[in-house]
Amino acid sequence: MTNPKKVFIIEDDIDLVEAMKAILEARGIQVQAAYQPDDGLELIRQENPDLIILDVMFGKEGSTLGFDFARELRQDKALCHIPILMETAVNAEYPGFTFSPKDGAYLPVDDFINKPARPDELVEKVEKLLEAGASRLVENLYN
Amino acid sequence: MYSIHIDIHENTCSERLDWLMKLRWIASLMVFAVITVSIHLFHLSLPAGPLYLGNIILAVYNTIFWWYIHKTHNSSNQTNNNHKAQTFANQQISIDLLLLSYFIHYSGGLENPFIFYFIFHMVIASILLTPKTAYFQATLAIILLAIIGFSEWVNLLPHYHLAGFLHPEACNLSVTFTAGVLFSIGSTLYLTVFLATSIEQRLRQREVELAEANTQLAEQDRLKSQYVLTVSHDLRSSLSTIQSCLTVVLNNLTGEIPIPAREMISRAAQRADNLIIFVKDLLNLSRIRALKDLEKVSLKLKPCVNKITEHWQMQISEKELDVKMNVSDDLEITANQEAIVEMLSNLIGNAVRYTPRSGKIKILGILDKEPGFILLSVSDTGIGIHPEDIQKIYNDFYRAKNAEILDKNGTGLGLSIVKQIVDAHNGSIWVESTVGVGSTFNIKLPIANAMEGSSDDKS
Repeated sequence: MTNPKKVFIIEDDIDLVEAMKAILEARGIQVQAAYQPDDGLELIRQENPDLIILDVMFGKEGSTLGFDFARELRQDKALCHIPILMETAVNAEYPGFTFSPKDGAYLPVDDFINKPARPDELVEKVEKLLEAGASRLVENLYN
Repeated sequence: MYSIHIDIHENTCSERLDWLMKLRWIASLMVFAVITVSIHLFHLSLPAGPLYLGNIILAVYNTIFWWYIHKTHNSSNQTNNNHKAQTFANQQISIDLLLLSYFIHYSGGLENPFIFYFIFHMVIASILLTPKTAYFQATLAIILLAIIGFSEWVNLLPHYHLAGFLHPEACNLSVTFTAGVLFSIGSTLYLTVFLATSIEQRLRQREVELAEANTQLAEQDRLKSQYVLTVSHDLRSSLSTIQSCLTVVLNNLTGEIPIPAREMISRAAQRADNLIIFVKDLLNLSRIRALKDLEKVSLKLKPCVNKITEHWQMQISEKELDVKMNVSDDLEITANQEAIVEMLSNLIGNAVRYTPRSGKIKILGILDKEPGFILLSVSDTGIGIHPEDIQKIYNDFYRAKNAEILDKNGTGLGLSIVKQIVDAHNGSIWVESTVGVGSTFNIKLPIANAMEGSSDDKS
């Protein structure tokens, strides 16, 4: 049997982490979590997960801690290959939704998932990204 | 708040300078007519030369002022402009007084009844200048008149008697007449300035108060929206988590649950769902209201409409709705993308929700008949809107009765959001509807909305 895939969740809502954990673990996926991006970085280095689920985490003045963290990961040669699935509650139910162009020419994540995620949707997106392997953004980054 | 005062006064001041110069053109024409009529029709013995010359001087300096003010109009420093406008008005009024005194001297001096035209100048000074300067102008007028009166009385200057207008006996000036006229005109001028400046001051103060109150109201409204935004955001986070946890249980991920328990949890999950939709609408509405400037980009409408229609595809197929879309490929506007998507989503969503099975929906996007505008319309063969509801459908939380019967879970915020977005883009919205037949929502939006931060500065 192959090793179970590892997913790392960075989300400040403990209860939501537990809910997602239950959903993913039921699919045989190993789940670890950190509640702050700062705590997450070291753990991610140690654990080398196959996917990171990252909350967009809006800061006080419209800043997006999640995006900042995603960018940090992308800059890191050791971690930039890990795909990122970003959770967001901002208007994501509407197609055509984009973040402000201020966030850069591209968004440093592989996919978005609406918050609260439906279990089937979460499983579908996570498994799709796990199957695809390394982040599709890596190529773009170092070309 | 001080800056508001400056703004108002600056605007009024340069506007009124324009007005003053227009008045002067009228005055010049009237002076010309009066001189001509007095000399040629009433045969008054007036020195035509100096009087016509005075009128030419009036026309020349007014032209110079006109040219000067339009040349310096676009200067940027507002406070400086205000100061300049005031000084300029002050100088202009002094010159006017000098010229009026010149006219008065050559047309009978203190015996000329046009001497009361000084009152108009006092009113103008009171409107344009500070009270202090207006009193200064009144004093200047009286000094000029006193110089004319005294010089003519002691024969320092010639006295041009209005022969043919006054009785010949009145030809010689008496000291009583000179003093009497000076006193009456002097007191009239001071009183005029007093009355006019009091009224003007009150008006200016009222204007400032109104502007202040307006700014405060707008700010408070924004703060309120900000507050609602924060509250709804926090509410939404917790609700999302509640729903996620319930879903986990309902999906048996925590183990098999007994049917009665499942039923109760389903009810709770359903209510959480409804609340999430409600809070989401509230959040969208307050976000749009809290924004001072929506960030605007060049936006093609067809892809937006396409994506939203795709989003509703499941419901459309389920209800077997016939959706026709006719949006020009090149229809492009300067707008906030998120807001426009939200607006279209609400309109199309409503059409899908309130149109019965096998109904028709038509989405049209064209250039409007009025140049510079586009017209978007969403028509359906839905339940329609009662005439008495039409005015109220844009109110927060308002739901038409027939809509409520059909869909219990609506929030009554969708059209309110749409209206806010249309307003934020300087557009207009109107609806044509017949109950039981259908509704058409029409939206007219300007093609070129000012991009953020490029409003007045570049004009």
